Amino acid sequence: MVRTVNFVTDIMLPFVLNRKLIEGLAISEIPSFKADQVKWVLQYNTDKVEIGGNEWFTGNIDNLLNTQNISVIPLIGIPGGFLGFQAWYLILENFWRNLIKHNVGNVTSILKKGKVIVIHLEITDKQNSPFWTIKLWSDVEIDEKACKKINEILETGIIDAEGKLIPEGWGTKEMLVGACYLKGLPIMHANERGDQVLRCYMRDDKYLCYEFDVMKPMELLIVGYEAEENLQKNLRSRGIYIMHHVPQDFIVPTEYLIMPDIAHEEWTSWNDSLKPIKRFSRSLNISELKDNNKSLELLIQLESEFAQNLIDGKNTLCFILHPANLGDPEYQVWKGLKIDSNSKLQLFVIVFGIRGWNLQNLQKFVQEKIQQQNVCILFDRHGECKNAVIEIAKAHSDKLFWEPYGGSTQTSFTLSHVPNDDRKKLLLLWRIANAALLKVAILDERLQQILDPTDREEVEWKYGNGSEPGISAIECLRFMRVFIPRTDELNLENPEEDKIHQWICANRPHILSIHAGILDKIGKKTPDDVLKWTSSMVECMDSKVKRIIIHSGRGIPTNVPELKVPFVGYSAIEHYTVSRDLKSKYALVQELLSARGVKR
Amino acid sequence: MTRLELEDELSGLLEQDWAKLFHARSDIEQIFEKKVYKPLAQLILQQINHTDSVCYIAYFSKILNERVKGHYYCADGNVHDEIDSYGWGDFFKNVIIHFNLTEALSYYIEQQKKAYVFVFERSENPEIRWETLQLNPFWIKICEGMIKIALPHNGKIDTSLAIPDQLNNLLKAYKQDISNLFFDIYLPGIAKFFKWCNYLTFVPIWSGVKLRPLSIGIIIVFTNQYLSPEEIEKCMEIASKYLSPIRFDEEIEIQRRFSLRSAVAAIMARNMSHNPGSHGLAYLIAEIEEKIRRGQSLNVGEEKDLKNFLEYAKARMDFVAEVTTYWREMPWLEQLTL
Repeated sequence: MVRTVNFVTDIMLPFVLNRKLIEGLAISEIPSFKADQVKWVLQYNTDKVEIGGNEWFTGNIDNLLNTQNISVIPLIGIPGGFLGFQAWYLILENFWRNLIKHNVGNVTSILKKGKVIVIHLEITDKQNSPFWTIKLWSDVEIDEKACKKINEILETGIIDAEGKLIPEGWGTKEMLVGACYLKGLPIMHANERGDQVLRCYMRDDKYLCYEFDVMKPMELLIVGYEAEENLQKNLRSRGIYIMHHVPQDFIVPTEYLIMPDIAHEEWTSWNDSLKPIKRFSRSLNISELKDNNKSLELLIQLESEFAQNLIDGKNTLCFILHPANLGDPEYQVWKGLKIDSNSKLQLFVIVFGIRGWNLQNLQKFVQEKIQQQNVCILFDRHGECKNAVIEIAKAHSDKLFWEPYGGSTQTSFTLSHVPNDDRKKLLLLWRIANAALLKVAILDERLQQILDPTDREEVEWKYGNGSEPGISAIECLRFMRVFIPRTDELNLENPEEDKIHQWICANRPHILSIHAGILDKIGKKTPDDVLKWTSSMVECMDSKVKRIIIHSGRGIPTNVPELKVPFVGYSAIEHYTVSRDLKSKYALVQELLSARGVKR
Repeated sequence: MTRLELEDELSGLLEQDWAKLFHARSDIEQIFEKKVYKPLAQLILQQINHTDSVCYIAYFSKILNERVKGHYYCADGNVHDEIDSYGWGDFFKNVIIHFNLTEALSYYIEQQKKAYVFVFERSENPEIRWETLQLNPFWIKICEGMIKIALPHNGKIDTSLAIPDQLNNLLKAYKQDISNLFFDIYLPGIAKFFKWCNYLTFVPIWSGVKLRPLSIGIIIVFTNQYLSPEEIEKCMEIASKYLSPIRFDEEIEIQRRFSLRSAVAAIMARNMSHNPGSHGLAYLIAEIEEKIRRGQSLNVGEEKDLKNFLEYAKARMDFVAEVTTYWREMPWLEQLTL
């Protein structure tokens, strides 16, 4: 339901670097405007991160990010995950458009002086609450009248007493909708309390400033326990929620759920689709969680327990990170992480040419680890280890995960921009490891056609210097434990129920995401039909974790059973799978883990 | 309190902005207790002349999507502590969590099915039977009869007993395969109320017309004597009179919510057309046209920019589609911070 994301790399960077959008929105008023004439300053307390400007469109993004410590900007929670990013963009897009449209003179005058337009996004902690407050303003001076007008629009609401749309202030209203969504508020708040959801005021008497709240990461829900109010507030501000009882059909927004007795009837009658996959049964001393370190240790334990369930408890996870050279940011941030020698997770950060590491030694190392019944997870910059591991991965698909990645990609951002705190770092490492371990199957005819089109050659991804042969995208995804059938294996444009069943039984995924349109095509036209199909299908999935998710690109289709099957938008699935640079097992799994049952 | 005093107090219900109160959520239970449940329970018990009895009212809120919790009241307006403690204690924890008859009845009514009155009777001769109800023509259009369940003290009923179709239909319509929950868990739970009374009568309250029936809630009357059809009718009349306006307010609010959702979709569609459309796309198309005119193709950087923009537009369309069918909300989250 709520996915934790990196505000800088997941939200802001794709927007700031969307040249055609930024320029397109300005060009009617300022024909020569270039996207590199705007700079975005993100601030938390006194720490600042700046993105935008000429070098961000021409230079190496990894290097530009590395020159600043972007981990100072806190992580945020986004309802609806990848699609929810768009709620942010509703705000940013309209802010930018209105800034240009209504202030041509002032903007032009700044540009004429050779300066850039600076837009500020300041994050402050809304104390003892689950929210961050965001302040958004630019250094373009604006007449106070604009502020008054905006406040009138926000106070008046979106619809009138008869339910008719009030046709003015469209951009402001869309910003309001975005702010309402990001805070998880009922949609009526946008109409009834618009000026509270999106606050607009003059900053330093000359700048128009918007203020709104967004979620902090939502980590853990503990049910069946009670705690005194101050402790609860303290925990909530760190993403930990305590509820003695849960209301009917409660949708758990957090990544983890703890119940005192998972098998108790009170909890089993609560539909699993509304709960996270990472749910645990254990006794807790709630007051201990007041200590931030204890609560982090608890989350690490939960991840470790989840991993051990996935690998049968007896094996060790061998996490190998292979940066291309010592200057790569992921090398810098992971090389010194100390992990307890008794831990089930071992980390090896290796660079070829350093400490005797080369392709042959890596191959030998991985083979030995696998022979000792360890499970190896290898993140490989530029895919340089491909020749050392590919045969092993084919022979031991359950023992070796391999994800190649390039610089300035989703995966390199995940591995490079990590918290400074060692406990938080370790928690992230476990999360990445678990995302790697989960077997994800995706049934979608569009993805199949993108990666294995019937009218041309299968898509290949090239790694390294480009002279080496590429690797089939579908095969590469399989090494990442993402299973998308080839067309000759299972044609999804003309799907057959029996063949789908056989394919799922053969691959035994932990998570299956299926396009609602395929269900429709195999005759599952009502929610009841779909429910019967999902309950028969889970039988042949991996016994350790089972989750069937429906995805679609047309909102929630009518055959999706309400509050019984998790749902996710198509764009997210596509975004993290079909492109060599955007693919990311971690981001894909985080998106799938945040999916919950929905109500139309 | 006299009838007039109670009616006067209940007339205050018409002055409230119920939609706002339901949205605010925080005080709704206290407001219902004080302004609705307590005076209404008293009035009902007075009017049906069972002043030694207890009355429980459950109002189903469409906005909250659950019933507003209330207490078990005596005719003098005091809470019957023992029944209340069982009702919100073991009965709630061990029984309601599995099967909730008031919810099942409400669901059945909203499926355009005729409502039933349920009567549970303390008896050592278990029996389940269907009876028609001699109500006036207005009520009989919607409530055609009653299901009487005679229960021994332990609530155990031999399921080989003849079960009227009406009961089977209701259980099946509500959820698949729940008749065992009804017989094995719900009935024994209900029978424990016989410690304090001989009869439990569940009277459904609804509003609207046949094609648009709105279930408002349920009244449960705990009596030592059988409730006559006239008394059942009175319960329906009184509760319907005072609870319908609340439900009406909620219905209008729900319609407004859908209007707002459509309006939001309209705003997003219009802005999609305006911002990424007539600004972003128009500029992009002109640029590509110029390339075509000059016989040039896009360079890698331009292709990348184009891809970024198209991905953005695609995700936006997906987002608009989702928002028009499903609004992700967590109202409890803000509530926690008040």
